[in-house]
Amino acid sequence: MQAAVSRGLAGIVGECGGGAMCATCHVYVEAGDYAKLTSPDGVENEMLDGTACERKPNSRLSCQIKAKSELDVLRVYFPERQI
Amino acid sequence: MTVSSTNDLISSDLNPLVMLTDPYPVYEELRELGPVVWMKSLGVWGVFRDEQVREVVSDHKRFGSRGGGGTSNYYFEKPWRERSVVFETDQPDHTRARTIFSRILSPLAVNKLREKIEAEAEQFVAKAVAMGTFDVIADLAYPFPLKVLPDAVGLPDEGRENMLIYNSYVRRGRQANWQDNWTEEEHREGERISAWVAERCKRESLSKTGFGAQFYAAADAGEISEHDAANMIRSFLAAGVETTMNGIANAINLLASNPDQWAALKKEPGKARAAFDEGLRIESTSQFIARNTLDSMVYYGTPMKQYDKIIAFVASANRDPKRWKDPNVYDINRNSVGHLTLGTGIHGCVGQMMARMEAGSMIAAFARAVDKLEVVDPASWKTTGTRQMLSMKIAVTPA
Repeated sequence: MQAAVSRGLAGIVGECGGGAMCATCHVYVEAGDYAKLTSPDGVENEMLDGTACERKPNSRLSCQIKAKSELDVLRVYFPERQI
Repeated sequence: MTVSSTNDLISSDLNPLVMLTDPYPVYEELRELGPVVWMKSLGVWGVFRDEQVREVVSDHKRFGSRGGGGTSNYYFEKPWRERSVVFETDQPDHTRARTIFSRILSPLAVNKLREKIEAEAEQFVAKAVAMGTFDVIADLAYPFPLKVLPDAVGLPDEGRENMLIYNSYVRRGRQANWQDNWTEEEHREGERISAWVAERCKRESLSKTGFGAQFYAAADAGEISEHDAANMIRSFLAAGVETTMNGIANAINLLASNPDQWAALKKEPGKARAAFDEGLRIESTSQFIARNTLDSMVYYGTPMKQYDKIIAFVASANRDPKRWKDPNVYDINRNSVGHLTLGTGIHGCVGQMMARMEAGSMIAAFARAVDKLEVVDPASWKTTGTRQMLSMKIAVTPA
C-alpha cells in the first residue's frame, strides 16, 4: 500500500493510512503470487467483507502485505473503485 | 550522551500537558531538541518528530498501552476508572477486544447508516444556515455527532451531554496524581458521572438494534464477558462523540479561514472527506498519544526504564517538515493519508469510518447549502487540558 500511495497511484486510497480499518486499499493478487503471502488475520478477514468491489479468493488489503525480499515481485490488480 | 530535556510548554503549574492557544511553534522548538525529550516537570519522555512518533505509536512490541492514556502511569498509580479493555490493554487481551470492534464498526456496518446520517447532516446544516449567523460549535459541530453516534449505539435521548462531562473527567483522570489533585466535590461529581455512564452502557439501557446490542450479542456468543461488553461500549461512547465534534469544527474553521480551500471544495464537493482528513492532520483534536516502555531499553541513544511513560505528540508529527511538504498549509488537495491524529497500528482509531462518514456528510451538505461564508467571531480555544474550540461565529449566504 505504501508503495502505491507514495507513487500517487490512483487505484489505492488507503484512507486509514494502513491500519486495516477502512478497506480502501483492496487489491486482487495475481494467482501465481497469492501463494507467496501468509493468510489474512482475523481483522483483515473481517475488513475484506467490506470492500467496495466484490471480494474474490485472491482479495487482500494491500496495507497488510509486508514487503519482503523473498516476495521479489508481487503483481496486483486494482478494483474499479475503493469507495 | 546528553539527554534533551525541557521544562517549558509541556510543563505546567495547573495541568500537565497544557495546550496553548497556538502550540505549533512550540512543537517546532521541541522537534529541534532531539529525537527524544525528557519532560522534567512531568517525569515522562516526549517524542515530537514524525519518525519517532510513528514508531512509538505503532510498535506494540516495544511500546505498550496498558500503562494508560496520559501521564498517570497505571503500573504505579490506580486508574480513575477501570481500564478500557481495548484502549488501555496490550496483546493478547487487546486482540480479542479489537477484533470485535472491527467487526461491529466495519466499513460495511457503517455504510448501512449512510442514508440516515446523510439525511441528518442535511437537516442540521439547513437549520444552521437558516439562522444566517451561527456558532459553528453550538449550532453545528456539537449537536450533530451528539445525536448520530449515541443513536447508532442505541442510547436513550436524555442526558447525552453527560458524555462530555464524563470525557473531561476521563482526561483529568489520566493525569498523574489525579487522586491528590482533585477536590472532594470533584471526586464526588466524577463518581456520579461515572455511574451515570455505566448505567447507560448496560444491556437493558440500550436499544435492541444498535451497536451496543451487537457488543452484547458477542457476549451471548461467549466471545467476551457481559462486563467487558459494557466496558467496550463505554470506550466507544467516550472516544466517538467529542472527537468527531472537534474534527468537524476544525474543518469548518479551516475552510472559513482559507478561502481558496473553500473555493476548491465548492468546485469539488467530493473532496469533503479529504477536507476533513486534512483538517485532522493540521489540527489534531487529541494532541498526543501515550505509551509506556515494556522493558528497559535504549531508544535513539536514550536509556529508558521499564514502564517509563513516553508521550507521542501526534500534533507535532503532523507538522514535521521532514514528513510533510508545507506542513502548516491547509490543502485539501494534498494526500493527507498517513497522518497520525487517529493513531496507527493495532490501536489505530477503530471508529474512524464512522467519524469520516459523519464528518464527510456534514461537510458535503455544508458545501452544497452554503455559497459564501464569513468569519464573524474567530475561533476561541480552550487553553488547558485539550486543544478544543470553544466557539466560533460565521455568517453564511445560502447557495
